[in-house]
Order: sequence, then C-alpha cells, then structure tokens
Amino acid sequence: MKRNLFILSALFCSAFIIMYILVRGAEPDRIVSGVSRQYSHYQLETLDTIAFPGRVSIMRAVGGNIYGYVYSQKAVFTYNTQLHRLDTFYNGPMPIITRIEISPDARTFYLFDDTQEHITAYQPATNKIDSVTNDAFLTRNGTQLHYKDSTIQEFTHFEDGGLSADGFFVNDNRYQFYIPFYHSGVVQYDVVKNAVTSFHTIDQSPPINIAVPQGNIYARSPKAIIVNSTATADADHLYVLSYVLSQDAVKSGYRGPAVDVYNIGDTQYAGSFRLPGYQNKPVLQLAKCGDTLIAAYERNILRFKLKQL
Amino acid sequence: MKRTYIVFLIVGLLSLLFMYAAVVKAMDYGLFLSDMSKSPLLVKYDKTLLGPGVLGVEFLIVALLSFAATRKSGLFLSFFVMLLFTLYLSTLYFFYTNIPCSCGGILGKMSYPAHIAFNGVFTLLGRQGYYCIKRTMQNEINSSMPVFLPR
Repeated sequence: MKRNLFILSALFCSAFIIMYILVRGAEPDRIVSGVSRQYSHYQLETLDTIAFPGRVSIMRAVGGNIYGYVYSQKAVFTYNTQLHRLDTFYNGPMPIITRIEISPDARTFYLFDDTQEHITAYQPATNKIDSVTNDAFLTRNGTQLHYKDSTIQEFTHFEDGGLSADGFFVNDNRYQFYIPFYHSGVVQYDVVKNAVTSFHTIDQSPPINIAVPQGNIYARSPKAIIVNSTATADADHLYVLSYVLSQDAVKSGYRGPAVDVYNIGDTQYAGSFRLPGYQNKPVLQLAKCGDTLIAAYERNILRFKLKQL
Repeated sequence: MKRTYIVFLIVGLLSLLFMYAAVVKAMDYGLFLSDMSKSPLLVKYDKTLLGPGVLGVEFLIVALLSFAATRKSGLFLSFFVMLLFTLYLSTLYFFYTNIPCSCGGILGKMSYPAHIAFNGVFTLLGRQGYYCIKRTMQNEINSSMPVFLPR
C-alpha cells in the first residue's frame, strides 16, 4: 500500500515538474502562431532618419510630406521629404488628437478628439478650422463599427466594456480598415461599393475577453497580448505590424515584430518583412507613400524604400 | 466481483478515450501539429518529435490497458498522462491568452472549463482504477492461498 502511494506521489510530482519546465520555457507575452512567414517577397532599404521634437503617436504621409502628432507638444508637425524641413503644421485648440484622416485631395485634415465624436477639419492652404460631423470615416462604439449612421460590423461581445474590440483605423480613401489590437479579425470597408469584408491575419487569433472588472471600470487583464499594433495601406496592399511569433521566428530566436502584407483585392497574405531595430525603440506608427515605407520609432522617423521582389 | 466490474468499466472508458483521442489526432495530423505549435508552453520544443511522442503514448496506453498482465501499468500511465493534460490545460486557461487545444473531435469542441473538468474526472478514474485492480489482485492472491487449519 505504501509502495503504491509512493509511486502515485512520484507520478504526481513528476507531472508538476514537467509543467514547471514547460512554464519556464514558455513565451507568456507573445501569441505563437503555427505558420511560417515568407520573407522572400519584399526588401527594405533605409533612406534616412528624421528626428521629431517628441514621441510621434499618430503619423500620416501624403504627397512627400510626413505628418506626425506629438502629444507632449500638443501639435502636429510636418516634414517635407524634398526640402528636408520640419515645421509645425497644426497647434490649434485641441487638448488631444487621437486620430488624423486626410481627404483624398489632401486639402483637408480631419483631427479627431478623444471621444472621436468631435472632429476638427483643418485646411492648411487657407488656415481654416471648422468643427464638422463625421460622415466619411468608420468609427467604433463599444463592439460596433459604424459608418455614417449604420452599423457595419458587430464584434464578439464580452463583458468588458468593449476593450476586447479595441483597435485602430487605416484609411486608403477607397478602402477603410479596422484592425483590432487583440485578435486577428480585420474589417475592410469598401466606401464606393458600400461593402464590408472581414478577413483574418495569418495568426488566426480568436477574440477573447481581455478585461477584468475593477470597481466601476474595466481594466486590461495580464492576458491582454497585442497581436497587431499598427498598420498602413496603399492602393494594393495592407501592411500590418504584427507581434505574433511565427514558427520561423521561434526557430531563429528572433523576437521582434514583423510587417505582414495582405492583398487588398483578395485579402490574401502576400509576404512579410522585418523592420530593423533602431535605438531599441518600438515601432509606433507606419505610413506608406509611393514606394516609401515610413516607420515612427518613438521620436525618430525612419524612411525605407520598399521593393517588391 | 463488483470491483472487477468497476475495473472493467474504468479500463473500457480510458481505452475508449485514448483510442478516440489518438485516432482523431492521427486523422488530422497536420492540424494537430499546427495547434501544438501555437501553444505558448511548447514554443521551445520540436513538434515533429513531440507529435509522434504524444500519439505513441496514447496508443501505448490503449495497448497496455488491453492485456491483463499490463493493465496495472496502463492505469498508472493513463493517470499520469491525464494528470499532465489537466495541468497543461489549466495552466493555459488560467495564465495564458492563447489557449490552443490540440485535442480533435468532440474533445476539441468542449469549452475549456468543461474540458479541464472532463480531464480531471478521467485522471481520478485512472487513479481509482489502479486501486481497484490492486485490491482485486490481492483478493485473488489471498483466495488462491491454501488455508491450514489446526486439527
């Protein structure tokens, strides 16, 4: 009897030791995907580095100009890539800007406040500032995605105040995208055809409840792991900066993020590339202008020539 | 006699479970490997070795449970493997956000709490089966021993 109890206890202890070994070798802060990324389709070539006067939290690029919002300065700065000149673009009366959208003719800049309900339309040519209603861009309210007055997408509902559906918008005039931070479900909205398409990034991470109630509010739980952190688009492709660990990264020991490229036409995965490290800073924002990919690393902006091989 | 039936029932259930789990995994082996490679706990380990290892152990348990001579070892091993699976799933469910389950078929469709409870029940069945078979064997030995009565 004693011998059996000893064997069962030994098995019990062995199981715990095996679990301990597994937990020690685990990657708790990253989502691991079973896929391997394809790096043979794109090549990056560094062009130049631009220092902004603070951490760039929002970045857009159009017509050879890079626009970066620096919260500590409460201003949007612009950098002209031909003249190599940095100027203050907008420092009007807005306590915080959370989103910048640019009209197709690049004459009007739409600056969203923290509620995303009050929008300031700024026309730099005339220096005209207006308060406008949003009738051209996707917005999110909790788990619902709206365009104008209609709901175009409803995300999985959790008791989390909508935190699990948190994400960001990417606008390519014809298409508008909503990319969630915590799962792989991308929403693509065709403004011309008024059609909604949903597709998954290569990791296929399902939506999960990432919030824990704390009194009257919801806070992010330690299980909230970023899948997609920022993105940009051009006429043909969507570029998503993903923190998902693919199998090639697991094997090579690379722990940085990768940019995954998707065809806008058929939403298929087209390849990936890695951004080089810069002063050990994370990439906060991406923008695409012609064949140039722009990445904001905290207060420095790096320009790359992106070649499709 | 009653204990023999209990052992028979437990061995049957465990054999059915491990056979079903192994066959479902083997039938969609690619998906099984893909699900395993998503696990944050198994990042460092070679899935091409781990996959056949898991399948091999599951088939081995079924084989051990099938023969009277090896049934005790089968129950031991099934208790150990079910305990490992329960701990593995519980760790993923309670501490990690990415919780891929490599179990296919009905098992993979269960909610995580239900799956953990299910595994827990089968872990206890393995242990109980071992105790029952041990006592049955002892009774058989005792009953077959000659009894010497004083004249």
